[in-house]
Amino acid sequence: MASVAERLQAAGAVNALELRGVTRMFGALAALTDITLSVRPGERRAVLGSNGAGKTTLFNCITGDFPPTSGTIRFFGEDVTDFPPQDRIRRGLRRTYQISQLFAGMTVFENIYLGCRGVSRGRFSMRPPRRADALVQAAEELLDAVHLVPVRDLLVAELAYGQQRQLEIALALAGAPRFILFDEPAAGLSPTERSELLEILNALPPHIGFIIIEHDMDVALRVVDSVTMMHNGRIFKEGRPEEIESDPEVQELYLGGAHA
Amino acid sequence: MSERLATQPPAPRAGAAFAPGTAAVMPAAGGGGVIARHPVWATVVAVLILLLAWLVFGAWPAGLIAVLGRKRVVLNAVLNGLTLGGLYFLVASGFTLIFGLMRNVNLAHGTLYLLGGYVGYVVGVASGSWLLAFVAAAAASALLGLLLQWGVFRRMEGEDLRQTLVTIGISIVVGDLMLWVFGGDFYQIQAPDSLLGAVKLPIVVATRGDGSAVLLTYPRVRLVVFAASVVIGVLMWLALNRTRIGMMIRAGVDDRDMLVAFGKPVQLIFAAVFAFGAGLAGIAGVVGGTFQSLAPGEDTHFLLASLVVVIVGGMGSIPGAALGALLIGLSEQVGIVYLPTYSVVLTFLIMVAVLAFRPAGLLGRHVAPAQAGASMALLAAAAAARRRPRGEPVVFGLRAPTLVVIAALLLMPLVANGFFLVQVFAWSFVLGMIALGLTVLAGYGGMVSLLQMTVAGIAGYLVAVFGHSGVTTVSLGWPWWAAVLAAILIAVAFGTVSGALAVRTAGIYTIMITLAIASAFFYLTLENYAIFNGFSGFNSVPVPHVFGIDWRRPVAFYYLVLFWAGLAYVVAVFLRRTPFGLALQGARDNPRRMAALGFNVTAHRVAAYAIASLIAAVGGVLLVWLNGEIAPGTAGVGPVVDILVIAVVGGIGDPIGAFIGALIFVLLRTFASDALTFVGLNQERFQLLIGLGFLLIVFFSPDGVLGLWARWRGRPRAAA
Ligand SMILES: Nc1ncnc2c1ncn2[C@@H]1O[C@H](COP(=O)(O)OP(=O)(O)OP(=O)(O)O)[C@@H](O)[C@H]1O
Ligand SMILES: [Mg+2]
Repeated sequence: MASVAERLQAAGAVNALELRGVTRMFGALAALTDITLSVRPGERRAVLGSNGAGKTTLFNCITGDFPPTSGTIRFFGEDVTDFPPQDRIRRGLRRTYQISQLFAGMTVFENIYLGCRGVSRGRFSMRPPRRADALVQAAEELLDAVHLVPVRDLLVAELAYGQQRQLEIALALAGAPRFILFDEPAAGLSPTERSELLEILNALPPHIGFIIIEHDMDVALRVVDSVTMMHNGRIFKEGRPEEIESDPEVQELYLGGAHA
Repeated sequence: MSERLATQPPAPRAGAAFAPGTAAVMPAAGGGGVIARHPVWATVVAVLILLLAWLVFGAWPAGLIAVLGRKRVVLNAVLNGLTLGGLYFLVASGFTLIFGLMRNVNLAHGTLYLLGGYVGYVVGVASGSWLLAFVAAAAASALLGLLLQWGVFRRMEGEDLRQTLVTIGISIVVGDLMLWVFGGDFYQIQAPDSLLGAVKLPIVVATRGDGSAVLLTYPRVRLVVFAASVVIGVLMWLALNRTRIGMMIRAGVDDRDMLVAFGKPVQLIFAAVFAFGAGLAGIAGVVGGTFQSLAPGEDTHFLLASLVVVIVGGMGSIPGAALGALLIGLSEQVGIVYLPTYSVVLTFLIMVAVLAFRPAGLLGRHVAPAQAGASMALLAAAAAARRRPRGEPVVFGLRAPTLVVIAALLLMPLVANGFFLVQVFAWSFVLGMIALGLTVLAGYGGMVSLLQMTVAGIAGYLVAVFGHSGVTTVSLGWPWWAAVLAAILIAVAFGTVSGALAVRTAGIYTIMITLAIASAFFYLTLENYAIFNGFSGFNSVPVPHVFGIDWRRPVAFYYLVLFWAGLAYVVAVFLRRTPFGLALQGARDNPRRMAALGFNVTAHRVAAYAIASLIAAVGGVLLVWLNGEIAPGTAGVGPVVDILVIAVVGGIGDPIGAFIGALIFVLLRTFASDALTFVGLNQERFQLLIGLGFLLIVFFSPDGVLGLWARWRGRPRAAA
């Protein structure tokens, strides 16, 4: 039976994400070491760090793609450490991948439809989708939101790179997300595409929080309330964007390194 | 807060980096005190050893004999199991070595075994030297192995499914060539006189009336060969673990780039290992030819034994192969004593238990499914060739060519005689249905299962068992509908559960596991009489009279089969557009992304097995009605592979491919004998023809006849 504390937590003041001592090994390599992190509901945070810092691995642990070697992960108060990815996703977690993970042999619409289907019931449905289905409508709206209507029936393999990135984001917006992990969504985009991306991120309803991994400080800092710096699989600094930006150590370790 | 965090980065890392190293050193340093550190386990092990020693050397009390049987029989079975395990190890260790280093699944491994055996026989007879037989066998098999490595595996690097299909084709072709040369006779290789006869072991099995002891006798040659396999195994282990080359090979197992980093010619090492593994199979062929015999079919037998051994022991692990070989050898031989006619079930259960609890095998390391999934590129490509509307006239949603085909099929009985209707068309439709399930599984789901014919076979057998047949001692005589319903239910349950086992691993493992399960069923039907009536199976299985129609009449039967095949086809086509079908295709192309979208990939895959099994089960019922009989050969390893051949030759990219493949197969099967006689070959060379055709298709048109057709028309279907 749930303790009073647990019920109180469930009622409100509970973090969207709560990581405690998360460590992930790849063989002898510690990609993440003892990560402790909490993110409030609706909070928008950037994770910065040089190549190989463990940012993507952090996402993989949170979504369960690669479960942590040790430590616990709570999603809105619920311990999801041992959940398979799909059970976390069905609870409102979403993610995009640094390298697009799309269904190249399917049409854009089919990709988005799958995204919507995955977080609703009827995943085993034997009834072909029809125009009037609520889920099809939802998919069409999503298509519109990420400006992909003109390429609706093209195969994903035929899309331009920027459009594939947009589709990647659409997949993370399907259904009713509560928290989203964006892995370098802006990488490789043109300036126009970048500002479209920022528009989409800024237009997200305020209750939806996210973490964004982004190498470009200018992009990152325009959409987030807080920043976490990672290095060598550890968190070494957390703070508000302007604190981080002006921090000499960050300048040296990250910005300096990145520009060198 | 930022102060505290800021001080953290460099300092603790060094400690963390050293931690694993220290942990690894510790047990080695404290190795001497095992007994002191695990007193309980040490005691248990000691007691077990004493018990074992007593069982072997002591005199058995009557109570024990009542439970276990006579000591001589039991010990004989155990020794047979151990020595058979030695033989299995020789074959399987080569297979696992090749797989471990290169991830090459060589389904022609059994062929290497049988080839070695035959060559050894010929050389042995000609030279009179047993040792020379070994040398020649090893050389011949190693040579064929090199050819395979160079001509197939290297050429198709990274396409492991295609490699596997090609090795299946090669094993069909070479198998038939060997049959051509050596015929269906049994050959036995003579061991030298010094190894003949029996040894008396210092083991008392009984006491004579006069008080003197009866010692256990056992064929010397089997003991010698067993000792030799132990020596070979230990040498292999030492070579892998104690020499520089071995270390490099093991490093290559983990990471190929490592090998390159060593600056060694990777291809040379690969070729050498391949030749060595193949040579071992050849040596095993001589061993097997000495204490068993050589005959067609032994290639499949030993391929399957290797598969089971490797699945149980752990894929790619030499100690695993040893453990698996002993387990399987013992279970077969001890099973014969305690579970006559069900001993295969014992082997099967061991395999199932391992797959259920340790999918990577007892001593195997876990292989990430994502990694295995990437190998399915061939299927993905085949399935990505998708049909799109072409702007031709459409009636009831059907395009003109489709309408023509439908009309032709419906009007067929007006022009075709009974033979064509049943032996050509109905048979094609039935085989097409069974293969169609594979198209669904492989084309939509990326799972190449060899279970389809087995599921069909189970359904067919059970119709005869529950319903009526000429074997009245076994058949239960239920009304036809009850028998059919029960048969289909059980067959689908079997297919689904087997599928659930198979999906615990992915990619190329699916072929290995499903082939092993399928063959277990084949051997069960062969040796079990209580349910499956053994070698002869069931005859005179009647087609029911329903609605006043005698469905056995060719025209009626033709329409019956056409209806079910058509229904299955429509379901398969329809499935592709359903949310379930889309999800299945998604799971094929990118299982990781599917999970990250909220799908339970495993559940979808198992459901796909259920659907494929349902289609196969209905096909199986029709098949037993068509033939009026069913025997082990119906779902033997040959037909099991034929279904794969049919699906691949037709084209996995579209459900119609299964039927096209089946029609080609049946036409060849029916008329090839005339054609073969015409070009001066024996009509028995049918398998050769099938195998060569299959090889050609896999080599040149992975998407089958359908793909050829699409390319010939100059418009690949993938284009919009
Ligand atoms: N599947 C894997 N197997 C083995 N090592 C891995 C795996 N994934 C990541 N790593 C290792 O873990 C470390 C952290 O990688 P990660 O991808 O998390 O870094 P990142 O911060 O996302 O870097 P980038 O900015 O390049 O995307 C790296 O050293 C990487 O090589
Ligand atoms: Mg990354």
